[in-house]
Amino acid sequence: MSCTRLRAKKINARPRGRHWQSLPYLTLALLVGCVAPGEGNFQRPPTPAEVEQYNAMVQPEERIVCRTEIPIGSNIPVRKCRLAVDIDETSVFHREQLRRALR
Amino acid sequence: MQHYCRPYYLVLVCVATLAAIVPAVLPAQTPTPFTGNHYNQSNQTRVLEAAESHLQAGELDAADIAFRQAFESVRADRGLFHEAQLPVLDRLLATNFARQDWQQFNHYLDYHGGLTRRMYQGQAVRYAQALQFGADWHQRAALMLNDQHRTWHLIRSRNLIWQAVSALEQMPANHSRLSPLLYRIAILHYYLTNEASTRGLTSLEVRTDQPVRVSGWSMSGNETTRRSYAVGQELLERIYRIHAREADNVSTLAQIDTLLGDWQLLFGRDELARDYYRKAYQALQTEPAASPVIEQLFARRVTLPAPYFAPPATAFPTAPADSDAAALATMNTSQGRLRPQLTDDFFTEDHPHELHPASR
Repeated sequence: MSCTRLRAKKINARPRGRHWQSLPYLTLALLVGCVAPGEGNFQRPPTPAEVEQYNAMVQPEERIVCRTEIPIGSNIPVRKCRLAVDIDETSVFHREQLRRALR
Repeated sequence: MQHYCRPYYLVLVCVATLAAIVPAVLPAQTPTPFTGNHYNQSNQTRVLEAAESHLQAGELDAADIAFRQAFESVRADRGLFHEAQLPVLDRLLATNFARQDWQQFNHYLDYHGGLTRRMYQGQAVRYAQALQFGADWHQRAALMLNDQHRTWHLIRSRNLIWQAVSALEQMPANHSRLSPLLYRIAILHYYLTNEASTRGLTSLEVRTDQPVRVSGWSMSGNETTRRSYAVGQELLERIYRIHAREADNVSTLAQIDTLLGDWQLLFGRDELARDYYRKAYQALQTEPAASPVIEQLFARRVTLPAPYFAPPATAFPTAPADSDAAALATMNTSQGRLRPQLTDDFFTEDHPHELHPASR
């Protein structure tokens, strides 16, 4: 008899009343799942209007751009916010790398 | 030998001394004619009057010089951070606007921004009004210019209004004043995506505050349009939420729904526009006294973007409430989209109607 089958048999052999013992744990797990993971930790990305309001209040080097990107290895679009300066630097870096590879 | 103390010599010395003193003393006693010393208040008024008459006569260079004199005089007389500079600054802006000297114009607008920021610290409403004043001037300049300069002025105008919004948001009591400003930002988005050049838009928005284009990554045209639509939608929904808290708001909310419908129409989403118009109409139907509002909204075609309806509670106490409307109305230039005239059967029948083709 394989190990899996043996374990299944053991589980089936348990008295029915014992299922109720796991109920508090299940409820707790459900409650934990319903609560947002710490209000301080989870932050939604800013809306387009919020981004614009922020950008209007700060110096150009602190301005951000938020766009929807599809990360490599996934098909799920994600909204990412970056400093415009960083975007420029990354794009220059990538262009340089491509140029070097093509040489 | 002659003695020098003789009366003859004494008389000569006295005459010579008088001849030297009298010309120096006399002019000081007679009243001084206006010789360009404008550093006192009565002369300031005189210089301002002269400048105003130059401006009226179309002598713009002379007006500019005279207003500058008055400006310097006010600064010297009343202090570098005195409110009395503001009316003179307004005239200087008008003069340089008429001269189309954009460098000076931008310089005075920057000065106005810096001055009011310092003067109105902790006075949110007054600071917001000052920011709105700057935004109005930028929008007027955008009307006169093309391409990148027009775009830049529209962006500056939008940024100043955002700053005004941020200032007003600090006090919960000011929240009712936000809605015309939020609507104005939405409309500026429409102008930026549809009427201004989108070349260098990203650069002007995020890379620099100067009217120059800095090369680098930029948003595509589609992305810009989608972003503008999203911002406008968000702001109009926020206006809706602000007014949803008020009592007796059926007619106000219906008007905001109509503006939301207009927004869909401006971005080519006719289906959604129809839903908003229908919602507004049905809400107004439940109000016995709302027939003039239905008439005003739907009985005739309205050029879009429509001016904000400005409920009395939302207007600034001192600034003209129609300042936004006036500035925006003048922007209704090229596209000519219209809110169609919508009849009763449009709202009562269930089958989908096409919005009038003339609205394009």
